[in-house]
Amino acid sequence: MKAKNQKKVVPVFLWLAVIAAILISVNSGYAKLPYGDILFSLLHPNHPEASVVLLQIRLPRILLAVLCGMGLALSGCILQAVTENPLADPGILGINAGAGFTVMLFLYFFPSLHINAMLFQPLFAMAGGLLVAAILYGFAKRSGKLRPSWLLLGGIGVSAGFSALMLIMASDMENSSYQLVARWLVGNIWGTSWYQVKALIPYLLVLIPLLFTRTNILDLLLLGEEASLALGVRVERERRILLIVAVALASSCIAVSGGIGFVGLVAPHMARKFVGVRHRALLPASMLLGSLLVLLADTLGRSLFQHIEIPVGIVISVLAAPYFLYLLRRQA
Amino acid sequence: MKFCMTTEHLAAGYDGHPVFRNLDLVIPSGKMTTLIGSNGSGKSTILKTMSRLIAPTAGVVCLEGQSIHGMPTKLMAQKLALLPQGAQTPTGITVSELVEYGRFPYRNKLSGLTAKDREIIRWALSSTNMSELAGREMDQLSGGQRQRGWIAMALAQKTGILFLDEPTTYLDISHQLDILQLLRKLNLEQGVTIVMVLHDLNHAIMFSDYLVAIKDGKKYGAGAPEEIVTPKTLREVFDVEAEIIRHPVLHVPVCLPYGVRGQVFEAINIDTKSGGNEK
Repeated sequence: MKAKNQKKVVPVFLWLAVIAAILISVNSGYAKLPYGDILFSLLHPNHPEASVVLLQIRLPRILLAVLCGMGLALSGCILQAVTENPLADPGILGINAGAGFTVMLFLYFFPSLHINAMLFQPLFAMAGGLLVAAILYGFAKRSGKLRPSWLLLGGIGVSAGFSALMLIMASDMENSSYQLVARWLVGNIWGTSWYQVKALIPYLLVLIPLLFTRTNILDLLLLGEEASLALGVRVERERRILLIVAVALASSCIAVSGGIGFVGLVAPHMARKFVGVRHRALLPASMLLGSLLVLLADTLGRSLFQHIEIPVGIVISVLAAPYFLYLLRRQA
Repeated sequence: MKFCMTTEHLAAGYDGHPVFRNLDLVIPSGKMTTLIGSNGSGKSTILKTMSRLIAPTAGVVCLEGQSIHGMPTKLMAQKLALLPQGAQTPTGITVSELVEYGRFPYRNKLSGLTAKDREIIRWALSSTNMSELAGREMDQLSGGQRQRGWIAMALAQKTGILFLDEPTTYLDISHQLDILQLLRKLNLEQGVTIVMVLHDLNHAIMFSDYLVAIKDGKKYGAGAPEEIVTPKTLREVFDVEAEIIRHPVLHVPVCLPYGVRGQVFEAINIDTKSGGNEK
């Protein structure tokens, strides 16, 4: 069967695409690095002639792009199943804004600490993300039942509210901190070091395997609340767990990369076209497409113009916003 | 008669408004039972409470002598399957994938399908005559075929009891009969106890062994169709005036409503006049 073969080939193809993107990305940017030097530096990282640009700047940045793409895409994929709405995404639901707000509080009150405390930054982000999720959950719950469509509407409101709070706070900052925060808000992996990568990896190592134990439940949730209940899914409990996992994934990525939007929306949609709606195939495909998107957007952002770097969040927004409108139109 | 499910003093509702109360009901095993009543009488809510989709505000539901309210969710789904009204079909899933979902109550989190699961999926597909359409996507099928797919999913749950909330809504007359005949076949051949909500009274009579008439959230009466379907029941439960005749082929009662309770005389006059003209 054609469909079956396609499902087997797609992940292989996507892995190859991610590897190809890494190879392209490694050599894009201000300094060109011959692949021979790259190989040498990777094999002998402590050798005095090893490339500092590669090991200390490009490699962590590439890794962070790949990891954030994974986390954000998975988060969007879960949220689309839980809200039963294909337009859900951590950005639209306000989780990005909530996480951003608490990270900003953190940067505002402990500006000097933030490199040392980088490991805790995701925890702050999660607190904000979970706060938003709790507000939405309370808002969307009527007489003991969660109304998934209300989650999305509430999210749009909450997102606007927290974005406004962030702007108010930013206007009170010193110019230099403001620059930093403004860059971070639009989503940026510029200036990435191994700190950010180290801060993100532990969270992903816990959350992604946890998520993969719930592929069957995610499938059933798409049948609607009553049908999933009748099949033996404890819907309320599972929704809560999945919501927390989605928030934690998005928040920990936001904490290190800033508010990269649209990945969670676009990657699962593209993945569905390749592998269908079953989460056993959809989750890995979304994850890889998310990595690919962020990595390519970042590569594009730093090689498009010689003198300035466009933050990755902006590149993705410019590319994905038209796609989002297209999706909206097709849904109506 | 043996009963596989009973309710005692059962009550439930939404937002503090009771929909039905003090309901004592028995479901005979191995039979087809249909809840009848006008819109808003509480039939669907009763079905949902009995299948634990809604928590009762009072009373208990017993399944094989055990209260269902403390039962683990997956165990419950191994004993009772429910087809909700208007279940969503996710775009892009095939019939056999949908039927596979019916095995969820038996599966571990990570394990794939076992040989037994596959065998049951094949059996559910062939029992509903869906084997040939197994690889087709649900959203490409007709309403009747899609409903058969959902029934196959419920069968794959391998439960002794199947609940269906208005399984024939939105289908044309031939597909309505097709689904009801399929349910009767499953009931006779597999011994599945079927409990459903139907709007068409004559279908309810033709395909039920036991009828429960619900009026304003209370049980009006229950019994064999012959006992329940009388002009008096139709007047009091459905607010219509009706004649009951015998079906010339099936020899079951057929109800012929001819007007709303208390407002029928005009209609009758027109009828007798036109009838007279033809003569």
